[in-house]
Parts: sequence; C-alpha cells; structure tokens
Amino acid sequence: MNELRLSPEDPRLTAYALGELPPEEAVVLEAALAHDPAARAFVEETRELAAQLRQALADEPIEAAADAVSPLPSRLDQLPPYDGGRSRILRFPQLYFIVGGLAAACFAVMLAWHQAHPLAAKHYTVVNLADFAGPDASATPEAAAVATVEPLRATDVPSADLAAPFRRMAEPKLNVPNADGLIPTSEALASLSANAAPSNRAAAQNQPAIVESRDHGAAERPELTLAVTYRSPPPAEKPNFSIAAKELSGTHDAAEGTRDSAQLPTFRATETAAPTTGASTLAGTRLSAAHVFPGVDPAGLAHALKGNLASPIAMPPSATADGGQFVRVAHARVINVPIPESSGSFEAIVRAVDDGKLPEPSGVRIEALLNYGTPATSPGHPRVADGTVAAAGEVGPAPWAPAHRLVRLAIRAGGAPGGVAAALAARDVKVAVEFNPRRVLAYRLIGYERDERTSDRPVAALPGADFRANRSVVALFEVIPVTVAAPDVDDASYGPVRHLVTEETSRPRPELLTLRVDYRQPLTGAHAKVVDAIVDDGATFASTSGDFKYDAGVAAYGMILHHSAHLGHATLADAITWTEAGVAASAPDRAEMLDLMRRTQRLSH
Amino acid sequence: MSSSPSNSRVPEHADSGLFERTVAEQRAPLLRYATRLLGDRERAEDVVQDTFVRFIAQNPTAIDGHAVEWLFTVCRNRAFDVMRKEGRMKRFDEGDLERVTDAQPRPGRALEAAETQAALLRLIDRLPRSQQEVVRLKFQNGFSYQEIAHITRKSIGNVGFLIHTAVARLRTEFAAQRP
Repeated sequence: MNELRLSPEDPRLTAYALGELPPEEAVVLEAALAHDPAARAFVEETRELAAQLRQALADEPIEAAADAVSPLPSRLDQLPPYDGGRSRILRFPQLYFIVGGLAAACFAVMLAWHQAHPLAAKHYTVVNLADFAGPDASATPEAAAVATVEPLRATDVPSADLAAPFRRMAEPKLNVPNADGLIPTSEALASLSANAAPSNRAAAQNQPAIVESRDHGAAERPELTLAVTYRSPPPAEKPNFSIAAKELSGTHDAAEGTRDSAQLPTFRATETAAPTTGASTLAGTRLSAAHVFPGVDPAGLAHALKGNLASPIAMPPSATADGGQFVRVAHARVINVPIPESSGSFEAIVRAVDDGKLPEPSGVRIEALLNYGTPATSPGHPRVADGTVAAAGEVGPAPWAPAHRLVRLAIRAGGAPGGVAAALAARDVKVAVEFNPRRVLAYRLIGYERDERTSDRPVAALPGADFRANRSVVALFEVIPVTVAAPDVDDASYGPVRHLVTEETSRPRPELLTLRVDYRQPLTGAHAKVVDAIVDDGATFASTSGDFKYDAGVAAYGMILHHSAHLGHATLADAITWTEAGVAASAPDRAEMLDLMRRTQRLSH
Repeated sequence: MSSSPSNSRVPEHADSGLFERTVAEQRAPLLRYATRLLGDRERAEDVVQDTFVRFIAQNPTAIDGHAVEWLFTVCRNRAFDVMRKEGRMKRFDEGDLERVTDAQPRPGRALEAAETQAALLRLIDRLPRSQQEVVRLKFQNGFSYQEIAHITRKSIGNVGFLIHTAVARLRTEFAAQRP
C-alpha cells in the first residue's frame, strides 16, 4: 500500500480536522497521521482555531455585519443565475470563455502598468509634513493639553500626476533607536529638505527636522513609526507644529486612464509644550514635504504618531500607557455603556470601614457606587410615562480636572404598563454613546478603568438589561474636549451609516455626544429607542444640578478608594464637599453615602 | 429542482409549533447572514421576513430534515434578488474590500477574550467574500460542507478548498498578531 504523504496545503487535512472527511478517506488519513507528527500538529492547530472561530462568530453582533463590509458581491459570476424561477439553457457558453479571456487580458495590461509605475501598490498613505510654523500666539496653556490624531483611511493608488509632487520615501530602514527611542535617518532628512518648498528650503536646512521611519518587519501591514525632533536651541517661546497627513482617495483604472481624487480626513498634531530634554524646536521654520508610504495602515500610522513624537502629545499618562484608560474618539467613536447590576460595592466599603480599614482598591466599583440606592426618589426627576424609558445628559467641568468635561447620563424607566408594582417597565435595555470627534478628543467611562467591559462595537454587542419600574441608571464620562483646532473630520463617516447611532447628519454638528437607548416594551416586545444629542453649553460646576454635583463627588470618592490615576489633586474633603452640594434631605440613600464618605475621612485621619 | 411554494393549503408546521420554534431559533442567524450579504439591517429584516413567509407556505415534508439549510438557501437567493433589483451589483475586488474594512476603528481596550474575538472577526472581514461566506456558514451556523455546497450552489470540493484556504490564511495572520 502506498503511503499517503500529507501536506499542510492539502485541503483533506482541514476537512479531516473539521470532521468533514468521508469515513473511508478518514481511515486512510489517520493511518498516515500516525507517522507524521507535523501533520498531527496541523490538525490540532486547525481544531483549536476552529473552536476559536466558532466562539468569535457566535457573539458577532448583527450590526457589525452591516458595518463591516460592503454590500456588494465580490464577483458577478458568484451570483446564482437569475432566471425568474425558470431554467434557462445557455446556448453559447463559449461567450463566457471569450469574456473571461478579455478580462484576463485587461488584467495583464493593468498588472504590467502597475509594475512599471514606481508608485504602484495597493495602499498608500501620503503624509505631508507641512506647516511647521513658529509659535502660535493664540495657543493657550489649556490648548497645550490636547492634540488630535484622526484616523486615516486607506488610499488607492495615486496616479502619476498626483504622485509627481511627492517623493517616495526610501525604503524604511531598521536602525537602533537612541535614548529617546528615535532613529535619526539622514536619508529621510535629506528627503525632507529636498522636498521643502523653495522659499523654506534654507530654513529647513538651517534648522532641520529629523524625520524618521521604521518598518517593523515584513508583515503585510508594516507598522510605521514617524518621529519628529529638533536640533536648534529652544526658543523663548514655545513651539507649535502640526503634521498633516492627507490621503488621496478615489478610483484608478489604468485601462480607461481615469481617476478621481478627493482629500479625505487629515490628522493634525499640535503641540505647545516645552520640548523634551535634548531636543529643540522648529520655531521659525516652515517646511513643506510629502512622503508616500506604500502599504502603510493609516490607523497604525496615526497610532505611531501618537506614541512616538519626540515631545509626546500631551495627554494623561494613562492615555499612552498601560493600555490607555482614555479612549481616543479617533479609535472608538461609539461605546456601549454597561448597565451595572449590583451595588454590592457599597456594602463592601461599609463593612471595611466598620472594621476600621479601607477597602481593597480592586473591590471598589465606582459605577456601582454611582448607582447605589434609588436615585428615582431624588427630587427633580420628571415623571416618565409607563412602559417607556427616558434619557438625559448634563455636562459640566470634571471637578478633579477642570480642563476636562464631565458628562452625566441618566437613563430612567417609567412605571410598568398597567401599573403593576415591581413589574418590568422595559426589557433588553441597551445604551450606546457616539462621540462627536469635532468636540471630543478622548473619553473614559468612569468605573471601567481596570477591567474593560466596554468596546467600540455597536449597541448589540452588550447584552440588554431589564428595567423594573422607575429604575434609574447613571453613567459618567470624563471627556477631553477638542479645544485647539477642530480636527478635519469626515462628516460622512460620523453618522448612522457606520455606527447606527444617530439619525442623520451631513453637516458639522455641535453636540458633544449622541446618547441612544434601545429597549423593548415588556408586553408587546416592540422595539423603541430614545436618541438624545447632548450639548455642552459651558456650564460651570456651580451651575450644574445637584444630581451632577452628587455624582461627581461620589465618583471622586470611588476614584480615591480605587487609587485612580485620574484624580489629580482632588482630596476626600473635596469629594465630600461636592457630594454635600448635591445631597437632598429627601434622599436617604444619598445621606447614607455621604455618611460613609465622612466615616472614611475620619478613618484616614 | 423546483420547490415553488404552494399557497393552496395551510402547511402542517404552521400549527404545530415548528414554525414558531424555527423562527425563534433561526431568526438571528438568518438576520446576521442576510445583513452580511446586504450590508443593511433593514433590508436584511425584510429578506428574513420574506424567507419565513415562504417557509410557512412550504410543504414541510419537502424540507424535512434540512429546514435550516432550506432557510439559508432561500434567504441567500432573496438577498441576491434584492441586490439585483436595486442595481447594486458591480465588480468588487479584494483590494476594495480591504480598503473598506481597514477603515474600522480598532478597539481601544478589551479583555483578552474580547481582543481575540475582535482580532478574528477583523481577519475574517479581510477574507475574500466567497471565503467569508463559507467560513461563517461553517463556523457560525454549523453547516456541513455538503450543506454549504447546497446553499451556495458550489461543489463540495470547492467549499472544502475555500474553507481550507481561509483557515490557512486565518491561522497565519492570527499567529502573526499574537505576541
């Protein structure tokens, strides 16, 4: 009997691993596997991957299907023949061969053209290093705290005329980083200087910027690191520079010789902070250059820019370290808001304080503290109709970080239909928020700093919760607003087409975020939703509502117990002061919370 | 092989609870499948509803034992009918597909399991459409090669090759992403 030779390229191995091989073939293959450890390992790996695929696909949200792919079929000829239910005889099947042959010829012509073209590659990100300007008099200290990096989208092949102004970046080279993690690349510098506008070239050469690039491996989507640093002595004034990355998009058809192009979103990194030690500034220098990076994933480029600027974009440390507790809107514009089911954290803190000690930081759930008690009994809540859910938002300063804004979202159910006490008022309640990238640079959902339970997936990604009559849920977001220059946002991508959250938009929108609540009516199962645009009207902390102050104080208390890195200089005394401002005499749960905070304060003394 | 529904009588499964049970079990998988084909939740809802309308009019004995496969087949055909009527068919090569999927924001943070899931879903989205479809039918809906062949009107060998190719690519790319 001939011994069966097994190869990972053999589809039978995959079929065997998946239990799809007919029994008689499986017997033969098993015999061969007994003498082939590599093939056995392949089978095991395939089964392991299959299990992971089943698990991953089992929870795939339906909305993601609409969001992820184009509805267009990949090949016309993959469609089943449409014959109106009647069979049809194909009298001239040769026609298909003719058409196929012509298509192959066209493909060959295009392939040859692409190979001849120096810029022919599937994806390009065209980066303009431009507008290196001197100090910006309008920049304020607050403005220095933010920067914007918008995600870029992949591009099509630039045509020869569009590519002409650009110089293709030399093949990225792997060099050893210096102490700052940067890799001076003289070739890149020369490229930058050579491409500087004539009027600025001298300045560029006098105060050159070092532009560096790295290709991290030969993966299909190499990660690119682009860094900018300075050589000349720092000026008295703080520098301000921007990096604009522009995409070229459109379609390119070599056969027809046509293309259209459009400029898509740019990203801009603006920095006014002092340069890092050993670096300097580009003050007074204005450069103009562009580089074409083939095969670069724009999102990766934006990410690399964020983390590798010589003077890092001023963000809270956690935004660029330990996984990032602030989430950039550029990375995740939509977030699902989990609905806490337990307030056990409050009781745990009470027990610890009763025992004369502080609770374990890991056991403090801020979102549970925020939702402790029965907020529905607090004054100021308008009545919500039976069988419905209402949602509202309020924006004010984050008292522990005044440059940041705090967004308080409140979702409240009305009474149960028919007035049945303790019955369900709403089923399958899901809450999602879509941030306006023109207004918000980054955000964090308070209480979800350690164990991530949110995602940027659409609203269906989290299980819904059932709301009993008059139940309320509060969520707090701390957001870093865009205060320098509004990022160039593709409005078409901010809206229902991609994220299914908002109703419409084709214009710049003023709201900070859009809140959407989906739920089902308990009796009929009918779907209903609430969509509310939350606008920041610049309220001061003093002018916010009592609910806002109370929740801000409780959140600060939780952050203190949680050893949160976001607390700034706020103290427990501050938290108590904020909470006191929001405690109403008719809200016993709030008084209970305040009492716990005071006892904690005495304990810490 | 015509299976045109007969409306002249009420099928047995209309009253037997089979219909309700099937709808309850298969609505979400069908909706996910149709949404993937159409890229539009609302149209997908219509297609799935139409599929169930045809299902209830179908002679149950004709689809006994392979009702789910029948549902996916009808759903697929209806989805393509919708696309034809709306004139949305055009060539769509792999490069374009990658351009679309590349625009998706990356999850900022997630638990390891969620990251694995997100990574796999992203990789699946980058597969050619034909491979995506059979991978989902296999690993999401649990169909056999033979059933997938019936649904997609491909040969079993072709289905096996597509799945093998897709799995090989997913394995390579998934391994490359892991530390």
